[in-house]
Amino acid sequence: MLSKLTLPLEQLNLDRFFVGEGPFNAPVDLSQRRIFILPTRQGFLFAIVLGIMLIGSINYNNSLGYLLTFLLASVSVVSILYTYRNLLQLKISIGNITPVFCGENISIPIVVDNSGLSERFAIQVELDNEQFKLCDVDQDGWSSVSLSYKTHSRGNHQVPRITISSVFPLGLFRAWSHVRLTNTYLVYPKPGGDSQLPFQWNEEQQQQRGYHKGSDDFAGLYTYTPGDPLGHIHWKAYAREQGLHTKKFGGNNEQELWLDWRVLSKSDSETNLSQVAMWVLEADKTEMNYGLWLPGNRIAPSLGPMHKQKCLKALALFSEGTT
Amino acid sequence: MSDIKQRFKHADPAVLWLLLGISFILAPHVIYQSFLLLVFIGCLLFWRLSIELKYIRQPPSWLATLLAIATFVGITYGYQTIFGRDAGVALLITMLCLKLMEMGTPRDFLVAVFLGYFVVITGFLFNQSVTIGLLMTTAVFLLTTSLIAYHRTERSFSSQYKSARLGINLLFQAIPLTLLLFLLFPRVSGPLWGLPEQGASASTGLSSSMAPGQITELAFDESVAFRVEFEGKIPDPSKLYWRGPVFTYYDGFMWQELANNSRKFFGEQWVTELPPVPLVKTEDGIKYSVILEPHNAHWFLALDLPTLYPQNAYLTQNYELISDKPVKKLTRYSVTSHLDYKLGSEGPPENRVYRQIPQFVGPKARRLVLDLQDQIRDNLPYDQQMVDLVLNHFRSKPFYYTRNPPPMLDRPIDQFLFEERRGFCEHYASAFVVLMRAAGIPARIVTGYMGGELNTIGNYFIVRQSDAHAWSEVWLEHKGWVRFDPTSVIPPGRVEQAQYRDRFRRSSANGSSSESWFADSLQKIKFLWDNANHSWNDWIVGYNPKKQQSFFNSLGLSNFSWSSLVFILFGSLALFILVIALYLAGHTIRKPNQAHLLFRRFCKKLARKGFRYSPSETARTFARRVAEKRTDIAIQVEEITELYNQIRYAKAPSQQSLQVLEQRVRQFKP
Repeated sequence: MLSKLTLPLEQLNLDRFFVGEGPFNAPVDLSQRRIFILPTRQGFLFAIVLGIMLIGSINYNNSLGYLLTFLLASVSVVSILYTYRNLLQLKISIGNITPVFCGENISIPIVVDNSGLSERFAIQVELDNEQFKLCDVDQDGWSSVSLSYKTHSRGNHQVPRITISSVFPLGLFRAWSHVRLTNTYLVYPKPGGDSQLPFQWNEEQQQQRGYHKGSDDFAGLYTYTPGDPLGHIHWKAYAREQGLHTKKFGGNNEQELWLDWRVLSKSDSETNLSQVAMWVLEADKTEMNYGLWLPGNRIAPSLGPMHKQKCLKALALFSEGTT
Repeated sequence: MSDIKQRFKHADPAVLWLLLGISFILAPHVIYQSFLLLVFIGCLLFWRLSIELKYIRQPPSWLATLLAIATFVGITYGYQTIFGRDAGVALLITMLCLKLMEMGTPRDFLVAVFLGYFVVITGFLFNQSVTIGLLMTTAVFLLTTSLIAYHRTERSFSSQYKSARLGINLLFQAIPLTLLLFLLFPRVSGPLWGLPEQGASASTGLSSSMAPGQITELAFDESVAFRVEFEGKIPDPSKLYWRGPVFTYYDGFMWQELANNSRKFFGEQWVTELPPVPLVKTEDGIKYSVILEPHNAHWFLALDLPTLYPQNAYLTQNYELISDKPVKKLTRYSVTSHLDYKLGSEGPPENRVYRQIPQFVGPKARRLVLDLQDQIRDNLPYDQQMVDLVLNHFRSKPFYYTRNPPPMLDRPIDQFLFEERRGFCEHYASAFVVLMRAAGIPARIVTGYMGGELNTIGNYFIVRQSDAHAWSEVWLEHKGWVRFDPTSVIPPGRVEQAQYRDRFRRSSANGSSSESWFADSLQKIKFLWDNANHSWNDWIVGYNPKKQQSFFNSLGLSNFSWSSLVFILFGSLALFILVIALYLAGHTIRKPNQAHLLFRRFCKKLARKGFRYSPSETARTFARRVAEKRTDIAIQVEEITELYNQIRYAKAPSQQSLQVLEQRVRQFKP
């Protein structure tokens, strides 16, 4: 009995009102208890207009004046329901966020899914009071709104709070729902420093130095494994429906490049990370196998877009404490 | 042509809706505002439309400000004031149109729409008819649609039907709430503060004086003067003389009524108004209610002669029913009248005004009276014989009834009686009374309305301005005041306007309709329309504190308290909102699939045993996962999952398989 009594108090939590609950795993359903509604400034202005109209009707004892005032008041009351319904049962989720380098604009694709039976108009999608866009959502349809903003620091960031709101149809009331999702996005360190690659050969390679073994020495066909560079796929064989194969070059004697944190001065880890990020980008261009050595994290030499992402992710997530 | 089409397609639909709505709002003001102002407003609207269609650019803001100042000065100069209804409304509607010129921000647009809503109400200060009601409802719809269109992201011309549809839905769903508020919102009688005196609003219909020789054309005004609901039997239309102002004093050109309870100097003495002469009733009275259209004067109309009348009115000596206040809005009052009566039969009226005619009036008429007096026989009462002789004179001599009489300005009475012999009721009544007075018989003129039309659909009488009439009353020995209608002695063959003749016949012949089917249905439509007006007047326009009280009484709330009223008001408001909310929810929220609900129940049971169904796996993979770990329930799990899949993805799942699934899930005990 007591727990039942305390329940309403718990629901009156003001944080829900101002901050929103969560974070939750996407998709979040905009249910009755997540949507709030209050008059807008225009709504208050309209109320004042109605008040003047009512006083006028009373004073002139004008029946049609009363009727009009009450009609408009009723329309605005009904519009509350329409505004509220405009958000009800929308599902909010976030699409694939492409990681960016620090300082670039990150674009967050917010997906508004309407599984309800009515069309939604002018849904405002807002990211933490910074930016907003409006979208319509068809019945049984969905809309994707991309909001972008400048990134300021590397790492894995949580998607800021999303506010879904609507003043449709009359603009007298605003219904809103704060949605906090667990989705995160990656920001790589900003590449910077010397674009010259740090050639560090291991001993075996040191002996072979002088004679160049590039990727043009064909070494054989291997079954495709995810992450192999697309350029090395034997497309002709694929076209003959012989399956996906990757051409390997250079064999065991292929050059390996180590991008090693330790060669850098330990002055500022962020500058170092920028330098390593630059190396990763440069190394990726050379089509050389490269590996990454970070304090507490070592990535074996490899090549290809997935390898590149893996390396950049390691840089983005790098933290001093793991040393 | 296609260029304009393109321009319309590229214009902001919200603004187009708004402009259309404002045109509707301004429509009733066309009648009431000055021509100059209307031209100015028309130009502003056209200007705004041209801006929206991108023919011209938006004016600089200083120009709009300048125009606003000019309007203010112009209206103050034109109306000599800025207060009062007419000037205020003129200012409001021009400001609304000027507001349209500057619509840069969302705020400007909303202010324009709200101002539009506000101007709608000013239209009701002039007129509260059904027509205005319909016009203004359309205007409210258009303004609301413009608000909707404004708040949409989609601005295409072709998708505007969605805005309109939503606008209609909003209005219709608001109707129950509106009516509820209208009926239950406590009405207070009387204004909160003194109403500004409305300047020169001319009275319509009957007038307080009558100068027959000066009118050369009687307008055929079909507008409704009042409507009457009879309780019980409806009297014969030929007996329906609706009494209005009574004229007693004639200055040779113009008849006037003596101001009530006041003294007037004429001839050589003061004449004082007296309380009404007592009346002898000879049969039961007729009870009826009159719904009087506003005419801005004081008189109430009642059948000859009123005996019981409302508190806020009084009877003059001449049995005019006078209202305390000028009738400035639709007024309903109940009266009882006695159609057969004896008035003042005890003795001749003491007031000399009933015998008064200025010396210079009608030398020829006086001679005619002397000639007629020669025919008087001794064995019959003198006054009755005089009346018959004069009426016979009208009948036998070539007198014509016309609504377009020639002017008779110098000697109105003699010119009419001996030269022109053409005129309408006022001429006949006037000449008749002068002849009676010349013969020494007290007489007076009564104006009002005669007859009326029975609306067979609503079973009430419609009396129009065109039914206005003037007749006379003569005081006869032993009989008192007796009504004579000199116009009615003119034979139909001498009535010039066929239109009026028909009307005369119908009202006297009790509407014997031998007309064509078309005319008959046309009549029916007219009656239906008038009935709509009547109900509108009765229930909407005439809904006042008194009516509200009787409405509460009919609900059994005769001794209601304010708190219970508030309770009822808010209770029923909440109920209506709930109904609409449920309706809207039914059109928004998709009902969860029943098979899905059953499967969820099944998953819940498994979850208790440690098998969590993750959204990323299909039902089948989940089932396989469970079956691998728990071979004891594997068969049941597989069966339920299979059933679920079948129902979920079948085109038309059978009710039977759903029942089987439900049974299996219920019996499932992991």
